[in-house]
Amino acid sequence: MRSSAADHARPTLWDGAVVLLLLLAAGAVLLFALPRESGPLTAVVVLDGREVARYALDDVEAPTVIEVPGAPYPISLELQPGRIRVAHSDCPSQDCVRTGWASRAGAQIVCLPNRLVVSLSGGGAPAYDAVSG
Amino acid sequence: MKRALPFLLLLSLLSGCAPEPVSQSFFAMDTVMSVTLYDGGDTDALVAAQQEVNRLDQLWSRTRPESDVSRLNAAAGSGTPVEVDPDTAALLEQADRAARESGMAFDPVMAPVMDAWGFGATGSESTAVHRVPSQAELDALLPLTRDLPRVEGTAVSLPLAGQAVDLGGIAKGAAAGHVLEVLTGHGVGSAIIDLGGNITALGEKPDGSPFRVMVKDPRDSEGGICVLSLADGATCSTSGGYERYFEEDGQVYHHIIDPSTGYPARSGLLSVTVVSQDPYWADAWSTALFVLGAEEALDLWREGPETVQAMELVLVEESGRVLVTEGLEEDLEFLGEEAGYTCEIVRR
Amino acid sequence: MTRSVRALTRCAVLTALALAISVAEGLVPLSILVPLPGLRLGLANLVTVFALCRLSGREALGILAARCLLGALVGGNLSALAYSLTGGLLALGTMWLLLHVPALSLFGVCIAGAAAHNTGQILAASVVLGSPAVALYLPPLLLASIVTGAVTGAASILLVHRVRDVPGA
Repeated sequence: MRSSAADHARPTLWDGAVVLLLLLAAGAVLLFALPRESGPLTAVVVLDGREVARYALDDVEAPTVIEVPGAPYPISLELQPGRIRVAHSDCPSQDCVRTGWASRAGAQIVCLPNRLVVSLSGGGAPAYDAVSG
Repeated sequence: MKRALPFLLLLSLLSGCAPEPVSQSFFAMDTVMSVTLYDGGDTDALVAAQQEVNRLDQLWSRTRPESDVSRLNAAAGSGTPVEVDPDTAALLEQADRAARESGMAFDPVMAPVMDAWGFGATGSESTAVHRVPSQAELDALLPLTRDLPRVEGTAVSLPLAGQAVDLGGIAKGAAAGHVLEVLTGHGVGSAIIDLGGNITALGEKPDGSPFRVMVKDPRDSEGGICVLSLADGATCSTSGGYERYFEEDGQVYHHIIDPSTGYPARSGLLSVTVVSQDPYWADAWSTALFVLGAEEALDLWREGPETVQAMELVLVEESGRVLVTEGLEEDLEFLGEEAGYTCEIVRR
Repeated sequence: MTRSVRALTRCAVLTALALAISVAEGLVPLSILVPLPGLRLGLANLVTVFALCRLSGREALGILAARCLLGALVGGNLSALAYSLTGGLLALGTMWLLLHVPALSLFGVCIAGAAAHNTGQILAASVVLGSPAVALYLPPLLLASIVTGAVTGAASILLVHRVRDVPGA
C-alpha cells in the first residue's frame, strides 16, 4: 500500500499539530484521573475490582503490617504514619514490592498478578459496609 | 495446541478466585433483610439465621392471626392471659423496661392510634389507607395506649379491651440479638446483620478494621450524613419520620407517633441514630429519642438511665445541625457538608 | 507458488525483526516508572509502519499478531500478551488511518501510533485489574510516546526510503 505520508523526509507542520493534540490529551486525562486532594490521606485497596480495605494513613500511629485478605498470591501491606508500601508479596513479578513507599495523593502501587491496586487519595467517596436508616 | 495455550492460561489468569463476603437476603418483618458473612461462606449459618428471623416474625407479626402478638391483642381486656413463646415474653419485658425508662416515649401499645393513622398492621405500605384521625377519635384511643401488658412467666395479658401491642419499634433489634447468637453458635466470627436498616456488627472485618456504617441522609436516600465505626457486637439503629409518611392537604404526617399527643412527633429532629451494645435498646430508644427531641435526648445521655448513658447518638436536626456524641468521634467521617449539614461533637 | 513463498518469507523475516525489537525493549526497566509488568515502549511499531507502507494492511496485521503471540511465549509473561495485542492493534489501526493523510510525515504517524499503543496498554491493564485507577499513568506515557514516536518515525523514514524495493512485493 503506497501512501503520501511516506513521501515526506522531514517533519511537517501537521506533525506538530499531532504533538500538540497529544499534549492536550495528556493534560485532560490528568485533570480527570487526578484524585481529590482534600480530606485525610487515605489508601484504598482494590482487589479484583472491589474495595477490600481503606486505611487512613494519617491516623496510623505505629508501623503496622496487614495481610490483604483473599489475594491469590499472599501479599501484605505495611502502614506507617503518612505512607504505605507492599511489605511482602508472593507474586512472580515483585513489581509491587519494588515500587516502595507511596505517600502522596495519586500515588499507586499495582500488583498485576494479584489484580491489586493500592491508590492514595486525599479523600473521595466514603467506604462503608452497611447503611443504617 | 501451542497457540491455544497462552490464550487458555490468560483466561485462567483473568478468572481468579478471590474469596468474597457471602450474603443472604430475604424479606421478613415487612422489610428487606440481609446477613453477610465475611469469614467464609458458611451457608448453614446463613440459612439458620434466616430461619430464626422467620420464626420470630411468626411470633411477633401483627398481620398473622396465629402469632403470639395477634392472639394477645385479640384477648385484650378479656382477663384471660395468653400463653406465649418465652422469646415473646422476653421481648415484652424488654419493651416494658424501655417504655418505663423513656417515660412512655417508646410505647409498645401505641397500636390503636397507629392504626387510626393507617400506619398499623398492614401487609405492605401500598395497601395502607392513610388518614388524619379526628381529635375526638384520638381522645377515645389515647387512654388505650397507657397501660403496658402484664407479663407473668410466659403468660401475658392486656388489661383493657381495644388495646393492642405493636412491637415494630423493637422487634428488629430483638431479632438481631437472636441472629447474633445463631451466628456465633455456628462459629461465625465476622459478619454484618442488616435487618431493614438495623445494623449489627459481629466481630470486625477480616483485615482487622471495624465495620463501617453509613447513616442515611433523611433528605436524600442516596446520600449519607456520616460514616461511623461499629464495634464488635454493637447495633446501629436509626429512626426517622422520612421512613414512612404520607401527605394530606400539604402537610406531611410520619409514622413515629408521639404518645402524649397522638400526632406524629414534632421534635425538630429528622432522624435519631443510636449505637448500643444492646440491640433491643438501640431499636427502642432510637424511636423514643426521636419523640423526645434533641435536648432531652442529650440530657438523658448525660444524666439519664444507665442504658442511655451507655449509648452513642447521632441526632440530625431539621435545622441541618448534626449532633454526634463524643464516643463516635474517633473514626467518624462526616459526609453531610455538601448537603448543607453541620457536625457538632457533644461532650459529656 | 514462488510468489506466496516469498511473501511468507518476507513476513517471517519482519516478524523476527519485530520480535527481536520487542524482546530488546523488554530489557528496559520501565517498571521503575510505571509498575505495570509487561509494559512496552512500543518501538516494534517500526515494523508495523514499514509493513503498512511497503506491504499490505493484511500482512501488517499478520506480522503483528504473530509477533505478539511469539513474544508472549518467548517472554513467558502472559500479561504482556494483553498489552502488546491491544497496544499493537490500536497502533496499527491509528497508523493505517493516518497514513492516508498526506499532510503528515512518518513522524506524525509514528507519534500518533506510539500514543495509541500506550493507550491500548493502559486500557488492557485497567480491564485486567478491574479498576480504572491506572489511567493515572496515561499522561506520562503519552508524553513519552512523543519521544518514542519521533525515534520510530526517524527510523521508519530511513527504512522506507532506503528499502524501496521489497523483494516479491
